[in-house]
Order: sequence, then C-alpha cells, then structure tokens
Amino acid sequence: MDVETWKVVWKLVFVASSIAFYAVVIAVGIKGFGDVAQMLRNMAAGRGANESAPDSNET
Amino acid sequence: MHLSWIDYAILIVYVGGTIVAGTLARGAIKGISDFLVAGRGLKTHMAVATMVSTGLGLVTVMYMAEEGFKYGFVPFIFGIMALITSLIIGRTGFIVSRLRHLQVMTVPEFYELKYTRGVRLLGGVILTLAGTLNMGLFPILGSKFVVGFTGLDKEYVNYVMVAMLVIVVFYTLMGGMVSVVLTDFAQFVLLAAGFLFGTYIILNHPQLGWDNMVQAVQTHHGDIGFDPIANPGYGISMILFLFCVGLVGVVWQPEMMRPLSAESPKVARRVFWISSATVMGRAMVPMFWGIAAMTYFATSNPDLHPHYAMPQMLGEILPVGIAGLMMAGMFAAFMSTHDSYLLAWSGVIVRDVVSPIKAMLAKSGGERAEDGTWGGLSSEREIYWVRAIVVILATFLAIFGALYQLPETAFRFMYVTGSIYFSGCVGTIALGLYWKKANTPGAYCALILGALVPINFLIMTENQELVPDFLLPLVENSNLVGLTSLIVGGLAMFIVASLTQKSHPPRPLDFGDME
Repeated sequence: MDVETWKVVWKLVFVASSIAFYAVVIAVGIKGFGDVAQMLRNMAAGRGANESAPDSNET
Repeated sequence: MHLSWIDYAILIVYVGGTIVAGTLARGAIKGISDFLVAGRGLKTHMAVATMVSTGLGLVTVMYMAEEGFKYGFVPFIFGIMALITSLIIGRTGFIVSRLRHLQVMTVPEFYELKYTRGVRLLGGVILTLAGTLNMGLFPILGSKFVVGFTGLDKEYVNYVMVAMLVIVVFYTLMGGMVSVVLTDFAQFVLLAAGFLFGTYIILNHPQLGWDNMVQAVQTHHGDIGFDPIANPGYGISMILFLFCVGLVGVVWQPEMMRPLSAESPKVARRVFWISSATVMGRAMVPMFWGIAAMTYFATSNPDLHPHYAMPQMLGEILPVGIAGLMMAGMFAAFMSTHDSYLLAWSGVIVRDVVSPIKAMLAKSGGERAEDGTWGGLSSEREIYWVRAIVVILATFLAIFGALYQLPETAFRFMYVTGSIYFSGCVGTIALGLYWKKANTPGAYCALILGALVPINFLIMTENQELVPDFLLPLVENSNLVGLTSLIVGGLAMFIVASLTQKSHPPRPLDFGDME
C-alpha cells in the first residue's frame, strides 16, 4: 500500500475504533451501574459483595 | 502550575470517595475467595467495566502515547491486532472458558491441577518475577503524568510517586478485589469522559487537528510514520508477535482475574466478546494524544521527553473543570491498575509460592479444600500475607521506579518482561488445556526455556559489549526476542512431552460438563 492509502486507512480506523469504544462505554456504564449500586448496598448492610445481585442482563 | 483550584477540588472529591468505598469494602470480605476474586460473582457488565479499566491504566495511556510520539501512526497496528485476538477469544473462549471451568483463582493453580505442585511453585516464581519487573515502571510513569500535567517541577516526581502509591496500597489493603471492582467502574466512566473531551479539544485546537498532525508526522518521520511494514521498529516480526502474545496474553494474572471472577465460563467468554469492541480505542486514543504532543511541541520544545510531552500538552490545552475531570480519570486509571496488579502478584506469591512451600514442608496432600486453600496456609493467613506482600511490593516499585533507566520505550519493556511468563504459557497452559499429551517434564522445560530468552535479552542489553555478533539482532530488536521466546516455550513442551509419555503419563482434565 502507498503512504496516501495508509493515511486514509488510519483515519477510518481511528473513527471506527472511537465510535465502538464510546458505544460500549455508554452501554456497559448504564447496565453495570445497577450491579455496582447493588454491591454498595450489600456492603453498607454488612453482607457479602455479591449476595442477591441479579445480572443486569436479566433485569 | 497549569490547573485551577476547581480542578484540584474535583480530584480531592474523587480520591475521598474512593477511600470511603474502600473502607466499606473491608466489611464485605469473608474469605480469600472474596479478597482475590470477589467471591466469583461478577456480573457481565461489571466484569467488562473492570476488565477494560485494568487494560487501560495510566501506565498504558503513557506508553501508548510514547509510541505515538516516537513512531507516528504506525503503532495503530497494535489496536488492530488486539481487536483480532480479542474477537477470537470472545468467540471461542480460548483458554478463558476452560480455566474458569476449573475454578482456579490464580493461573499457576492450574499447574497443580494438570501437572504437579513443583510446576506450580516454579510457575509462581516465574510469574512473580515477570509480573513485578513488568510493573516496575508503572508508578514512575504515573507520577510523570501528574508532574507533566500539573506543571510541577520535575524534581518532585519521586515524591508524587510515593504519595500515589500510599493511597493505592491503603485502598487495596481494605477491600481486595471488591475495592478493585469499585475503582475500576469509576475509572471506566471517568476516563472515557476524559478520552472524549481530550480528543475533541485536540481535534479542534488551532495548532493541532487531524490534518496538522498528519503533516507533522510526514515532516518528522516521513513515510515510515504511516507504514507499519516498512517501519524498522515494527515490521512483520512485531505484527506476528503482537498476534501471538494477544492470544496467550490472556493468561496474564491481572487480566485473567476478571474472567476467573466471572460467575460462569459463559460469562467469562462474553466479557471478552463485549470488551473486544473497546480494545482498538483503548490503544489508539492515547497514541493519537502522543502524536498530538509531538505536533504541539515540534517547534516550541522539540527536545521535550515523550513521557512529559503528552501530559504537559493536555495540561496546557484543557479548560478549567475538564482538566480536573481528566486528572481524576487518570488518577482513577493509576489506582485501578495498581490495585489490580498489586493484588494479582501478591495473590500469586502467597498462593503459588509461600503456601505450596508450607504444604510441601508439612507433607500435606494436593487437594483443594472448600474454602479454596490447598493445604498450606489457611484462608485468614492467606489474606494476612497477601496484605503484607502488597506493602512489600509497593516499596519495591517505588525504589525500582526511581532508579531504573529504560533500554528502549516503555511499551517494549512491558512486552519483553511479559514474555518471561507468556513464553512458558504457550506450552504449559495453551497446550496443557488443549493437548492431551502435555505432561510435567514438558511443563518444566517450557517454563524454564521460555523464560530464559527474554531474561537474557534484559541482561544482554545492559552488557552489549559482551554479546557475540550472531546474537546482536536479538539485542537490537526486542520484537525478535518476544517471538523467539514464544516459539521456544511451545516447542519445549511439544518435544519433551512427546519423548516422556511413558515415564510421565499426562494427567487428564474433564471439560465434559462445561457451559
């Protein structure tokens, strides 16, 4: 590949990787927040960190 | 100083919050399983957040940025190789699912299940050596970020490092893996926000922007700043090495602790599948910042060291408030990587070195008890010793970081030291899990021979005048060292196990009921 093609490739790859990164961060951040809140509630109540914490996938 | 009181206030609120959470976590620790693998109860999204965070520490941001600063756009190839290997692991569950199915807490525990306690002990020693050397640069690079970002005088770099380590050690001692999961989640959100704002501001800065950065790379590096095949620092050997190490790198204890903490082998595999979408961004955004720093200082301060250039640029261009958010995100990144690594290596030292030696001296059997111990130390004593070794390791890191001088870039140092362990894993873990003939003599040879190549490299780099001519390519090109050591480790198991099947019949493992 010539250098001009590499420049186009890196720009496309950078844009695609940024979109994928932020999309996963937003999705996981929202869904995982419930798990973390449950963990903190359990700890505040003196229970094990993972007791009674349903997977956010299932809720 | 580049920052205002608002930025420092944001940082103080974050650090205070994490200390409170760490103190809360102490009450959630009921045994060694809670302390090391959070009771093996991590749900999918929390496991993804914590895994992404561990792979994206402040040290990662620093050494990825250094690669971008020194090599231009070429290091982007690392992100592509990481994506390919993550997709393969996420799709097939390669290594991850089977190790999780065996319910081990540390990777060397697998050696006792498949081979013998002696192999576990040797594996634990090698993993400890590789892990602590690999981690040696983490604190000093983190400290250099803070010094560069805030505009503090460089003479304070060692003091800042010690202060940051003290906070991390306190936090890790409190809640173990539960603490780690909580900081990881905070980092996941904060650092992603920092990435987004930082990149947006760079792209819209009058001196920077995509086109200016491309032009600067063309001017300073020429075509080899874009073409990874033609660049002598990369080339085919580096690309092949990145692919191989991406596949076996999954057994790196701090990374593997997430899948091992997942609630099932299926969740362990899913964690890799989801997080694969982030691996390119995790690598390329810091590299992009490194290129931006090279562009930013190209005329005003071309001799500025890359370790200071990127943070100094961010400190100068980010507005008040965003700078504080970035600082808190980076401090979270520092904490989440250090607490994970300190916990991982301390866990290995206690469970795979100290406890097996005690069990051997007591001549106790090699069976795993219900509480996850193996006949050496009790669960309570294991937690006690893990905490003690966290403190010892942190002290070592502070001394190492202050004294050691890098032979190449930080990125290459990480990969060569990681190879001390990875190379043995090709034979002992990959073949041990998937090749029925893998046996104990093969495991010993794979671990020893695989580790010797990168250790020799580190010694030879310090004493180049003593190295014979035919070995010089290995000293001058760390990519060749990594690749050679992986091949040596795999071949050692294959040849030795094939020759010793009758004298040392392999121990079978059952994966029949795995999800």
